[in-house]
Amino acid sequence: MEKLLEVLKEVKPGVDFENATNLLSGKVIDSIDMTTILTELEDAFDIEIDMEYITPEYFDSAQKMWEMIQELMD
Amino acid sequence: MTFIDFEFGIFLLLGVLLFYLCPVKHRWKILLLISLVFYAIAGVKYLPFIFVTSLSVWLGGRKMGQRLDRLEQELLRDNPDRKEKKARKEAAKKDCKKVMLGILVLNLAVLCVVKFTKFFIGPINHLLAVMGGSESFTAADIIVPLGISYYTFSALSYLLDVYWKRVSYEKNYFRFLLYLIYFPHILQGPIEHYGMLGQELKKELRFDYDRVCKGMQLMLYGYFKKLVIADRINTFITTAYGAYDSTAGSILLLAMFLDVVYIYADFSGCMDIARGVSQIFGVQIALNFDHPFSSRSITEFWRRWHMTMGGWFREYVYTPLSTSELVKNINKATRNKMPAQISRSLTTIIPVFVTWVLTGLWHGTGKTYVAWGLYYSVMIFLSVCFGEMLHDLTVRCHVKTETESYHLFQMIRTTCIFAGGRLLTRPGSLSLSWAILKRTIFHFSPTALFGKALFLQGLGKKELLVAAVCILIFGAVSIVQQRMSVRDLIARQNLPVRWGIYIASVVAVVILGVYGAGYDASAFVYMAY
Repeated sequence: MEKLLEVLKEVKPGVDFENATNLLSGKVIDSIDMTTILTELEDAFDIEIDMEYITPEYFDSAQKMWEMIQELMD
Repeated sequence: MTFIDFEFGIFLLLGVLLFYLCPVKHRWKILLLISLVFYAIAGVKYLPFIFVTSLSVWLGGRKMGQRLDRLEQELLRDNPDRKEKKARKEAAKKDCKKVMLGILVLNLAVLCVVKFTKFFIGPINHLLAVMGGSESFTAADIIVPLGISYYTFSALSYLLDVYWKRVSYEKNYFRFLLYLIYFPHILQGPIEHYGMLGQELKKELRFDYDRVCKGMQLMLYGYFKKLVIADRINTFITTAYGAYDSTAGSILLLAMFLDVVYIYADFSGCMDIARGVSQIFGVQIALNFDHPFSSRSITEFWRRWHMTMGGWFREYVYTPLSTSELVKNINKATRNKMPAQISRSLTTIIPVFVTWVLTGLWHGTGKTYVAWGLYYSVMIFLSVCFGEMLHDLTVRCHVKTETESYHLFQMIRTTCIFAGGRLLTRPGSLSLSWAILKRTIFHFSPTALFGKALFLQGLGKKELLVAAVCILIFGAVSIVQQRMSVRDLIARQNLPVRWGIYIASVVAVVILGVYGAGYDASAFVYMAY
């Protein structure tokens, strides 16, 4: 989880990733941030994030992203 | 038959009676029957098209769904290691991708042939003549099925959602057919998601007096927008643009802004009628407008205007493109190596331009719609890339961005951008748009707005006064709607006030609606798409 937060904070400094729960649906991260986050997460965790995961269900909070990463690493 | 035809009233009345006389569990079948009849009245020749789309997409969805279900069962049964699991998932994904791509291409090909053939009639006829054929085609020979752009997009959203495992596949073909052909949304949308409308149509559709009343009220307001406002001011715009070379620029400018009101009243009016009709049957369909002219930017505007189409392109074109390997590689290659603003611009340029040119082509073919797509590509691109920079600049200049006056400025700016887009498509050709723009700038003559010329644009003094009052009512209702439900507000009033409003509204539509001897109400603009 710490590694994920590190990646997120580097992409979009100033966002409270620990507590935010509407990152995508609340447009806290825009489409360009999303592209960067995907690129960084895929490199950092050696995973491939398909279109089926690119929804608020998986990207609205760091916790949800972390659960997705674990599912993809499984 | 459209929503503004007298026959539609009779059709709806009979349909509602049949629907509520039928037992609840069979009501969806009646809806399917009514929708098929509605579609067949528009043209039996259109039916094969919608059957091809519905059958191919339903079969494809079923095949993919069954393959994914089988994979799940195998993984549960065998509990393979990570490597094996990944390999099996990839194999299933590959199988599904083949099915999805095949059906996607088939349906997009049908849509493109139907929409674009008329632009190739000349070369086709020439080719036939060269080959010795004696027959030739005209535009009238081409069958353009009713609502093809809308139902094809609704069908493809289902196909892609099943492929991306966002919805479960539908096992019953007739349920899926109803989702596509459901008559309130077949003419002009909204473009639906199976996860929403498909589930909505599976509910127990029971009679609810309040809901039926509210549906009728919404229909009435839709007719008011369409027949009293849109069709009335359309005359002014058509007359002004038709004789643009002898019309003052100030009047052309007024026509440009009236055109914005016209398209909004026409399209949102149709959506109100569609949603109202659907509410009578107990089915909630997607919202397509959310006070777009209160938007602070053009990107926000497109999240509030024709929301289901914008959402479709965002979800199924823009997002896949912006997360594609190509764009991710561009992002990777430029981030931290170039200034952030340039990296952001390069990351977004391909998805924005492709999405907006395709959106333009969805609306229509020809140069005007390509120009329209490029126009919005540039506007959205500038807004996405430089929006933050502009915000920083306003803060540095000590401009208060949260004040009402600044919001008003942003709303006017957004409206002007939209009016510019309309000017590209409404006159019919780019040269005409350019000529109108030149005339507006170089022969402005502001005094014409206060003289006789104003009343020579197809609407006399009284007609213009009616239009102005009705537009003000439309604007006032929009402002109130942002704070509360107008229908709930009316429902809370005492009986004489409530019924006074209802009767006045009906009388307004009947008396002020643009009819007249032999008058044929204009078709809804977005039906052409």
